[in-house]
Amino acid sequence: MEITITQAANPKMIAVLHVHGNVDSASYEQFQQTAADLIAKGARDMVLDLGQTPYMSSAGLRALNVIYNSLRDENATRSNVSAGVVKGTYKSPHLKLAAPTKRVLETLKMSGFDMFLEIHHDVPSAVASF
Amino acid sequence: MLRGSLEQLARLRAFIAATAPQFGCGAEDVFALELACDEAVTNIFNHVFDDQMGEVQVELWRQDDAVCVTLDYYGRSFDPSQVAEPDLTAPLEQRPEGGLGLYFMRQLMQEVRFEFDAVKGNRLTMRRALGEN
Repeated sequence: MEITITQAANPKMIAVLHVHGNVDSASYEQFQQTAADLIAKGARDMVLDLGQTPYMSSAGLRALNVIYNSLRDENATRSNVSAGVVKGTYKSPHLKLAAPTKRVLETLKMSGFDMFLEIHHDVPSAVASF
Repeated sequence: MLRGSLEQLARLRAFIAATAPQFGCGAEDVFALELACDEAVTNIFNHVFDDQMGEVQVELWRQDDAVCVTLDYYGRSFDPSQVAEPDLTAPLEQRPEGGLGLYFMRQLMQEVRFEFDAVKGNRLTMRRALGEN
């Protein structure tokens, strides 16, 4: 697995991580650490481009969960989030997914992660959604 | 036979992708087997071998209208009934890290059976019905 990083402006800066290859328990830490390094450098909004990710196991979801928590809006109270979740309206405003492959989308749905993360057809539409 | 650690997962998935179609598995079945076996072997390497090197023997075969896979290994046992079902409606911020592996195995396979024997070794058998999915 390799990750390349680009920046998009909308007008705020959005970090785009392009994940090339499979994310499993042998590679998820690299994925998680790459995102953590960006967050440590100040990234607050992120798109994960999964168009070149044929496969993701639960280890990849674990990394997604950690990244999601790291980007969580500190002003959003738990009750606000919970209310949105109940209504089916809450999605992370800071972490968005782009172009997941069929298998990765199945994994996201099987775990219920698709309820909490916006999924866009491509990177430009994900960037435009911020 | 998988010898080593988590870097063996790619080899495991390649073995399944190359072998399962010979037993009548379609693309969905191959994906299900790859993911279920990946999760099972990950749990063995992480929780039984404690991230040390280990060995897992993998066998795949057709039985009537199903495809079966066994994973044989030595090491400690656990009680699968004590593994809590994940709450898939819980917000991500409230979820524990991990805990989806066994859930995925049970979602993808019609049967997930653990047998533990300190002398003969442990065996995990998984069965997926073909043509129903």
